[in-house]
Amino acid sequence: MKRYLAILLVLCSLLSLAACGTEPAVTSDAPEATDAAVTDSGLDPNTPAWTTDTSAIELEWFVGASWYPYTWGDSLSTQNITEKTGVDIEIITPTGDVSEELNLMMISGTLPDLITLGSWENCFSTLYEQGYTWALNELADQYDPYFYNVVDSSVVAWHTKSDGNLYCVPNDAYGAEQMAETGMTAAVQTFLVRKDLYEDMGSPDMSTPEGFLEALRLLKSDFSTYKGETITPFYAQGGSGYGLTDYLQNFLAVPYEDEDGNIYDRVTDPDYIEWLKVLRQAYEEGLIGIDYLVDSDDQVTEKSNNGRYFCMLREWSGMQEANGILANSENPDSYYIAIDGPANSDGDAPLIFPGSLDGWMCTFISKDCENPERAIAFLTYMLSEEGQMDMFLGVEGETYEVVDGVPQLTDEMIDLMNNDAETFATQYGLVDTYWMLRNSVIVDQWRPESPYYITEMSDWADENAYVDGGIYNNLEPTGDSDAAVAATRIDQRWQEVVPELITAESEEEFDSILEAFLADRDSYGYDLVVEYEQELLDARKALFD
Amino acid sequence: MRTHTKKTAFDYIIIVILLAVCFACIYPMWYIGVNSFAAPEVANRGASAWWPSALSLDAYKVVFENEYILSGFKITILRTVVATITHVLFTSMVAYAMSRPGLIGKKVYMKIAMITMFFNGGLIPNFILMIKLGLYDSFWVYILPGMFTFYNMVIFMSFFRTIPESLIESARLDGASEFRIYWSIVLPNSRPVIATIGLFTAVYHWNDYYQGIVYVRDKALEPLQTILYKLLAETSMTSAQQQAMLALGGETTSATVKFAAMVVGSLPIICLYPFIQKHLVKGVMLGAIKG
Amino acid sequence: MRTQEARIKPRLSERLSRTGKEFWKQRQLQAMVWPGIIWMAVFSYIPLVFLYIAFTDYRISVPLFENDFVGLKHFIAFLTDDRFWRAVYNTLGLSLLRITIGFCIPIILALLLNELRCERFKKIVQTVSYLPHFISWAIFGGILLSWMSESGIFNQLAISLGLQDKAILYNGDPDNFWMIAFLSDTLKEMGWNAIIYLAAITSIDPELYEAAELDGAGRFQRMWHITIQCIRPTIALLFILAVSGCLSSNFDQVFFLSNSANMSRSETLDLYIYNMGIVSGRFSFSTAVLFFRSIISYALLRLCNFTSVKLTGESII
Repeated sequence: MKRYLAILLVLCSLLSLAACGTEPAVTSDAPEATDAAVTDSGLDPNTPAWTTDTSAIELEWFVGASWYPYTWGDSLSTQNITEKTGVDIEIITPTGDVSEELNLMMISGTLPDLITLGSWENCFSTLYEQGYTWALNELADQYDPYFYNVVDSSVVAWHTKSDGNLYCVPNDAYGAEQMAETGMTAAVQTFLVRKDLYEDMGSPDMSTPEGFLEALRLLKSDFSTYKGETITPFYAQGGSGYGLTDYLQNFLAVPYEDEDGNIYDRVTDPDYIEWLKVLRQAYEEGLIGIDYLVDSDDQVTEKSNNGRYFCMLREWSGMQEANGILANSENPDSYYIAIDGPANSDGDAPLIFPGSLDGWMCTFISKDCENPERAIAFLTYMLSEEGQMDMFLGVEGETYEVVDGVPQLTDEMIDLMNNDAETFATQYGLVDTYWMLRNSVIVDQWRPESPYYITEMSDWADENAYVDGGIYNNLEPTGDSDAAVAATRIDQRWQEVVPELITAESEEEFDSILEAFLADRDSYGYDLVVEYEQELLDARKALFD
Repeated sequence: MRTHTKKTAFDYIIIVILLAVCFACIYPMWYIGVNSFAAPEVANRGASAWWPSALSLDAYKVVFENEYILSGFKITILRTVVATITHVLFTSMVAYAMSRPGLIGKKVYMKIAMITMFFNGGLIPNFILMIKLGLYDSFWVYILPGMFTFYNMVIFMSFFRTIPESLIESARLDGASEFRIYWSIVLPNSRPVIATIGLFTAVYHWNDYYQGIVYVRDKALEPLQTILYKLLAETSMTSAQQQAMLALGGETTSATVKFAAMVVGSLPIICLYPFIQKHLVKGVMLGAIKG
Repeated sequence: MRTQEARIKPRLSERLSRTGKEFWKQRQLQAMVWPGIIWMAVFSYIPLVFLYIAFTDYRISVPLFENDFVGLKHFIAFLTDDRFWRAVYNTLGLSLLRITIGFCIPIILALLLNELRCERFKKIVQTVSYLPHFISWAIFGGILLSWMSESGIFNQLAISLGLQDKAILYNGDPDNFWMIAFLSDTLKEMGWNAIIYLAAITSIDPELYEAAELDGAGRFQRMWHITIQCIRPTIALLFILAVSGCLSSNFDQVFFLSNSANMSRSETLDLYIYNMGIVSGRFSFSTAVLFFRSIISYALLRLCNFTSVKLTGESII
């Protein structure tokens, strides 16, 4: 009897389990109570909806960054925003893997109202492709046409999916024109050297293979220990997957497409291969190691904070903390500065990667949201100049004042920001604390100036940024399509091959390893990847013609 | 008796080997312990091998400033105690019945149980199951799914086989029910294995952060390790995320805070062992049999 | 036995009713087993239905059985992948170290502890050796990497002892990886794994040692003939369980110790599933690899037990 009962129990549960995939509205039909009349008569496209309804409401906001430490409601800026709009926010951050947690929320139908997520997360496309989020254009048409006044049309065009809908808005999106206009490019790729050491060596030119090797030889013979530190000659950020691939290719001005508009195979570019051989040569002579492929993040931080690296292919943004420490140490000149790095045989200017219309993270409104009209109104507010100001500068007279028509943070605020960033963020919550919908184009005009040890790195990147390069950002297929799987395999294989190339005992061995890789690459389905990228690139170009 | 004999060369070799083992095991703990007290300006420059040149409690302040740390401690202690007791009782009860000779269906039961050790459906079905059973966001999600494991069941079984059959037979002749035999003969005579499995289970529950991440949304129900894990979130960050965070000028959690979190998270459970050890000494069972 | 039964061949109904009677007789025992069976049905078997996704292209918005059936597509995808077989090779290599030398070390530690006559020292060693178990791999991995770096203590030690003339990047060489993983795992877990043997040793009757001593048995002989013989069932049990787990590795460990330079020896099956499946959200692919591994592991366990029955006549599990 018990046995039957148990079997029955199991069967019942099986059935219920099988039936309970979730049932999101896969069709992206407009929200309930679709009523064209409302749109036509009730809403004035010049009045933002957040000003008409400021009743108290709470929204959950998922920020897809496990490290995001701030909450809503304790700081001055968030209290001000809640007071103005009536919207109180509960910020939720993932504890473990972002995609894993969002997948579970999708399955259980408990998605938070607002979702901010990086496009590199593998559940990013699931959110809109499988119907878990609202099309923002539909919400805007129905509830808040003012939305179109606060989003840049090029951003809308860039992020509109093939079904004609806009599902999310990015933060930190940069258009080429804006970058050219403002000179702020969000470019971060630099070639850094330790200032005092580099100058003591006579500031050698390191942009040619010979110059690079000579400098390293000089370092080995005369400066292997410097001011009490054992010097590590070279570092490449992200190791073989980034620093020695895209990053180095950008310095060598390797193009993304040939003259005919076909996707260019950047890996087989002669200049790039030559520089990999230079690194191999340097390794053979004992001028560099492969520690940058092996070290943990803690070790890299330790070496940077002590000024143990000589030169680095490294994003300057990651060196802000270290440079601060070094500039305030007993050797105030031991911080890192940007110089001209490896260049191709023609001496072309590098194509340093700029910010792009992709932005950093994107914000969605989920279909589990019970008040999409308030969510879209809130989004509109945050994206507007007024919202940006409230978020970045706070309250006039209290945290910022207008001098000669230009709003700027008060001196006390700047002081607090530079000396006690933690208190600044938790009590006032200004500047970059709530970056989820930050529009850099707007806020950069209010940004206080950085110290010299930062600008000496960032200015170089801004000057050398390839402002038209945004179109090539994120061309690689993602998700679980065949092309994406092929791309992942090729990418992971390449990460293993680079160390083999650099530690190869001779140029012949180097060549044969590279040849074997290229054969592997074809067998993994390189043509699928190229096909995908070509299609995407052509579509993007069409968008801007 | 043996204690009278003089120490031989063999004894000294053992002592030397074990001292080496002790050193190798204690040095990592020492390293973590002292560096968790390192002052930030020292820690910035890397960890110290023996003793940091300046000390501070900053890292512990970061850990204890978390508003949920106390409720986390409570949940963890409660969970560890309840889960260990239920696991040991439930698994040992099934194991006792399974270890009896002549149990009808034993082979089938064994196969059913064995499969549970190797096959599992993965995260998604387990998650759906917890929701359907009403265990999602409930304290019992820590207890019920962990009440039984095949691995511990076979360990119990192998120990139960060493209990002299005569003990059980005599109890049965006295008219004791099977449950009574299990409760008053088998359990009291299995203190070493109960202590061992109890320790394994307690340590597992103490250290587990994953269930707190997946099955619990209410912050007041999160166990200590989940809270500490959140504090150190970027250890599991992908490089893309990390770059994004650094681009923002965010600070990565320093190694000091990681070490302090580890000390806070594991010191209490480490202290449990000496109490468990009492039950791992010779003759406990023999005494019971003779008595 | 079997032939006799065949000869008698009682009618089915008779047999059933006899079993029924027997079953009723041991209803108390059965009542103690069945809660376990029901528990397993609910918490282990229901989720197993989900293994079906290994044969589909699963999308989370679609109910389980409405996903497109693709047969063995995902199985073929990994079985024809060189990297899968490399991962199997690495996993087996690491497991081989773990279930041979690595398996003996906790036993030896338990034996040595058992030989200690000073109870207090014994307790101290026991406690100390179990401490590293509590360091998570995220932290232990980080510490090890800094100790293994070119300026780390291992290099300093080796150079000052004259074992090598210049610093070596230990973790950059794929050939070192298995050893690094094996040694670090041993250090971290030996004390912990010895506990179960210490528990087993407690059930040995001290009179056995006294009798052996009277017979003039030396300490090695007593260790071998009494201690080891008495804990043999426990050793056999744990050995079989270890063998059946030989396609698994410690994910956290390889995750934190691997890098692009040693990947050719550090990518185990768990890491392969992570890199090729989980990172890109390929539910069906990951489930297929896990399903395949489960089948092999289960078969291994049955094989070991079968061998034991053939060799010693007793079933260990």
